[in-house]
Amino acid sequence: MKASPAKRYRKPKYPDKLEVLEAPAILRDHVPSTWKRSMRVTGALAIFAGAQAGMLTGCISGAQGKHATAKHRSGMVAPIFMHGEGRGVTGCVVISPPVFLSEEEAAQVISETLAKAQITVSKQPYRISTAHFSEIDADIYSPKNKIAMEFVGMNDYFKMGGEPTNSSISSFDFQRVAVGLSNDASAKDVRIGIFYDPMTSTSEQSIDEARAQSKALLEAQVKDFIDWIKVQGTL
Amino acid sequence: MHFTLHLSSACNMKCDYCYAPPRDGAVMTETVGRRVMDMAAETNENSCGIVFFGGEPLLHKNLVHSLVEYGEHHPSGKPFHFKVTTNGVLLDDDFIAYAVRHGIVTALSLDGTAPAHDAHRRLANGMPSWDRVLPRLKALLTARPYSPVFTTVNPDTAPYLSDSVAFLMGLGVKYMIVSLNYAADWTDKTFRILEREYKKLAALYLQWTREERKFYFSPFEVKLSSHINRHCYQKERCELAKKQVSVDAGGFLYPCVQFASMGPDSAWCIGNVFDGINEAARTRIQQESMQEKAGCQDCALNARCNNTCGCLNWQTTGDLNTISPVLCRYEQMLMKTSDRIGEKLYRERNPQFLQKHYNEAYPYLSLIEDLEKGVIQAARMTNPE
Repeated sequence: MKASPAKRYRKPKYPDKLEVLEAPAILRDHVPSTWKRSMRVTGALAIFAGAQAGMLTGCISGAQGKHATAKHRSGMVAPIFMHGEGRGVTGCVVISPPVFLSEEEAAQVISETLAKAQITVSKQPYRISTAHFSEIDADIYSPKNKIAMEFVGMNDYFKMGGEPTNSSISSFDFQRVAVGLSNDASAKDVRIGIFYDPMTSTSEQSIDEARAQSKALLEAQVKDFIDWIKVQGTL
Repeated sequence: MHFTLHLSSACNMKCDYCYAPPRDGAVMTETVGRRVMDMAAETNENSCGIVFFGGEPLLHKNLVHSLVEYGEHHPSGKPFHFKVTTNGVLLDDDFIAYAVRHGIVTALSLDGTAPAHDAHRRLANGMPSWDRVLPRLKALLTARPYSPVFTTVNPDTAPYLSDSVAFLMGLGVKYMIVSLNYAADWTDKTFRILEREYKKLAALYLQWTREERKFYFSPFEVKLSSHINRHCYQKERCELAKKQVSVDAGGFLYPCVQFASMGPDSAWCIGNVFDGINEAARTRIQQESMQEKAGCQDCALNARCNNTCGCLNWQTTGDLNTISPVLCRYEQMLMKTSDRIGEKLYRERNPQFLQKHYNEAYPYLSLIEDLEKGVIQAARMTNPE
């Protein structure tokens, strides 16, 4: 008998474990019917799902960044893909202030990253439902791909739950606010992506370099979201 | 790392494909067995794995009992876990009850239906063994439903493979480890038969998964895992003398089970239980077995292939790093078939497939379900002694 090595082999069209764990809703939404009939199993499943998300945050903290351990109400809201600290302080005695991205800068980064993946956006409005805040007008919406995105930046910080500081120094935690919004948001027929201002510090680089780094980190968040919607089968 | 104890080379069967044909000789002494367990406890592992192997290990039940007793009260306080691999002939109710009480995993060899099994697995007197072993398997499954069953496929038994696996599944076997007799004389014709059988098995795998039945069928599970867990799959692959060491009856150490019959004077002996592992010898064998396999460098499936099993390569080609054509074709066939299964089940978002292969907590969730349904009884999971 003779055998020869496989010169080519296409990548299988089912995901690897990291790809699925980046989109944990798929495990929550597809449960064997025998499990559904058992309260003990479904209870344990919920506990393990939380633990697994926690394990993952550590597991995938490499090149692909981390994702937050948010509880996603409907499986339609993506986890927060953590690229950039998203927190820092600014004010009178802070000698290395962070760089904030404007809504316009963020929208441009998001749109350009989506365009690279052949996702076209529309000016048509889309409102994201939330449990505790008023409805939010999504910053970016693609009716064709059924995705809507919100950027948590300085403009939205306080109205989305960011806590004001009563001193001459203001502290921000965009990442935490984004996770809170992710917990709060829900949608029925549109996948929601929530991004946050990476808030890069200027302590070791110029303002322009920090701004460029912030844009790169935001782009990484968007790319992870695109990967997530691919796993969901939306794209 | 676990230690495989070849209690003796004696066997009450005479399977013609056995890589270590039975012969009379020494039986491992309790002193040697205890010393192995001391060595296991001295490793940095949190738990110590001991496999009772042979020949046929149940020819030496008293030795098994005394070593299990020693492990359960080992001075180190380290937990030991035990496994026995048997042909089933001497697997009586008493031993099954004992294994359940002491948490000993009992794996049994059965090659499927009677024609497949009896073609090669004969008693020492040449008589068929299927009728003797089958009732023992049923008794074992009643006590331990997840007991592994080893099935070996030969060229002449390949036509029975899908029927054999369906038969085992019908018996209630949930954990099936199927492998080829790679050293047999496979031809293009017999391999085509094997491919046909695997197509049937793929259909059965899909059907059983859609029916939400719980089972493990090693050929497909391993290859699905080689893609799904591709980030850590390399670490799971066999490396000689790294994850297990075999100990012959005299207490000499070898890098894998197939080398244990080679004797202490062979190049494969890597020490003995009294002087410990000869690290230079072990390192030499490890490094030799980790070399790039000839002809595999440019293969697109190299990272997912079982070509790293030096023991298997040596058995089939006489060289740790030369792959047999049978292994190469089998691996390619398995990967293509398994990937088609994975793609189909993922496309339909099959819940059983997703949970089984992607959910880290699946074993625990499955256990909870089994406990609730009474498939496994909680009392059997504990050691009342």
